[in-house]
Amino acid sequence: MKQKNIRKGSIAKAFYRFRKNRIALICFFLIIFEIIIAIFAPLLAPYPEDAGGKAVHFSEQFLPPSRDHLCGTDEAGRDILSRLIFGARITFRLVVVVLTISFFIGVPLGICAGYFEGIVGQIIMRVTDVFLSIPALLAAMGISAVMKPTLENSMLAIGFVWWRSFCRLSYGETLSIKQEDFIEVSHSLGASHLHIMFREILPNITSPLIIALTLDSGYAILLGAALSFLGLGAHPPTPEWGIMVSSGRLYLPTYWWLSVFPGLVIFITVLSINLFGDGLRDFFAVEEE
Amino acid sequence: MVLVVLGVSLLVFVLTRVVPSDPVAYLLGPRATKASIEQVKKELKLDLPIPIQYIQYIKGIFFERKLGISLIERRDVFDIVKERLPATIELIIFAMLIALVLGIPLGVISAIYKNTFIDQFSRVFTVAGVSIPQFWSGIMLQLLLGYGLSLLPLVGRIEGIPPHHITGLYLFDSLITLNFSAFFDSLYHIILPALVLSFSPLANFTRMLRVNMLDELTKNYIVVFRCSGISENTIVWKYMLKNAFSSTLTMIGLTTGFMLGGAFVVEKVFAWPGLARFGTDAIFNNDYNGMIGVIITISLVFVIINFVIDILYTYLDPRIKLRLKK
Repeated sequence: MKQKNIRKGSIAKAFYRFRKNRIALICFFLIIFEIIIAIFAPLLAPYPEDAGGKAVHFSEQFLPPSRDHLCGTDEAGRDILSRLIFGARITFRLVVVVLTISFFIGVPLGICAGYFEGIVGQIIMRVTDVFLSIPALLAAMGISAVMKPTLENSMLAIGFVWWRSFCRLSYGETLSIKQEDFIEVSHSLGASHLHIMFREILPNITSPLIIALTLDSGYAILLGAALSFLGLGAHPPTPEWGIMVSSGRLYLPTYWWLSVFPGLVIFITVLSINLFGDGLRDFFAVEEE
Repeated sequence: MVLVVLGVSLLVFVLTRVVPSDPVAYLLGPRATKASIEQVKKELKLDLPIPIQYIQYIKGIFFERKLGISLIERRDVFDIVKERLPATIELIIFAMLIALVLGIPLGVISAIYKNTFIDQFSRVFTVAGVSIPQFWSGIMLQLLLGYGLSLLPLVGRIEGIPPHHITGLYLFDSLITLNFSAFFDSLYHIILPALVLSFSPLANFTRMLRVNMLDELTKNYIVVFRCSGISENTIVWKYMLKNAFSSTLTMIGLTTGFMLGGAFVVEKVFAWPGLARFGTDAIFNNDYNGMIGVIITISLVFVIINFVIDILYTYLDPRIKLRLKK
């Protein structure tokens, strides 16, 4: 009971401290707002039927932004705002898939490598080095192409590329945590390796991992959009933001709204994730002091 | 370094050979007969067991300088790499220069004027720099400076005749052959793509340098220098910057990896005839030899750059050399 109260108190205090960072707070609500939009997309989109590929209204082709179509219409007369709203669903699904895969591959490997420093650690870290020496976008392109470029495969591809950063991070953190006394104590109490790795070490490296998860979700969005832009992710007419920029590029400069708005949405989303992550980092840094 | 090349090649090789899709059938089209597919496979030595294919491939790299025949261009990938790599390297070097030239002063200034308006501005600017999708910033710059103001060319590397081939870097070649028209021509073309590529590294450098400079500010030697009457400018730009920069240097290495990836997007937006563009085409057309060759080359470039940076690091920070000697 007492334990619970202390926890509650620290969360309230944490929220109070976080609240003082205005920018991070605004960004936090912006992200929540976007997630809500993504969940209720069919209700919120002004023209929900335009999100899929089947809708074609040639009479409404290339309408500039107006009151009826806030972001204009595209080459098939589809409302761009509705497509952007549905695109949010794809983007957040991408974030969840990518982070889940990379987290569950990278973190256990990193902790293992840091915990068993000898041969096991060496092997894991050398494999990670090999993965690290291929630029993320290039590696994701390769995997995605080999698996046949679709939206789902591009998500998997980014996940399989991204684990290395979690591995690196948890490796470094584990190395420093391992020196602490309480690890020695659990050793002498006869705790198993698994217990020490996941019940003792893991809870102590959560704050850097949470920061990394937040910041990496921004990079994952950028990477996914870049893959789609290059044609190795979603295909038109999927309302994915990257592919919307790339198909709108053909109609520049006259019909500028086709590319400008989807890109702007990506930019704002990633920007708010990054600013929020920054705030989170400051917050954890203060807590440690 | 050799280990990384072996590792990367093994990884990519296994990846491309294990998957079920058949590049030769794809190349010959739907009307190809089974016999002709088999024959082409034999010519390209794709009928051998995978481990033997791999050993031959590695032998080819080290002894014959061959990376296998590209299916789309019908010539050895090594020649394509040799022809196209300079364009990508030039782009990356130029982008790196932009990032350093703008990032160093910005980082130093925002550290000196900590928590002022300038610092806040540079903070927002740096976060925006890493958040902007490169393909979009590229298109926006094309729209503004290319279409809108007609200041800079939209696509390509050079309009006139390319300079005499020495290194393949147009800016460098035209400068040493004193071919100024080609120099300015390629300079006009490189500004936009390099600018787009430099946003994110610029942001990273500024941020890193700011933190390191703030760290230096707390050290005792600054007080000693101030007491000896050395001017503030000399302290900041000569002594502090050198110390702060050595830790920023590692960042450069990491950023090159990011830029090499970004080159794939930027070269597509600006139709830049570099290696990354060939890589995209190869990946699209299931040209596995081309794809493997590009991935190995790019990783090698990345590893070499990091190696060079490690050496530079010991030069800038003599403590490391001392530690190694011990």
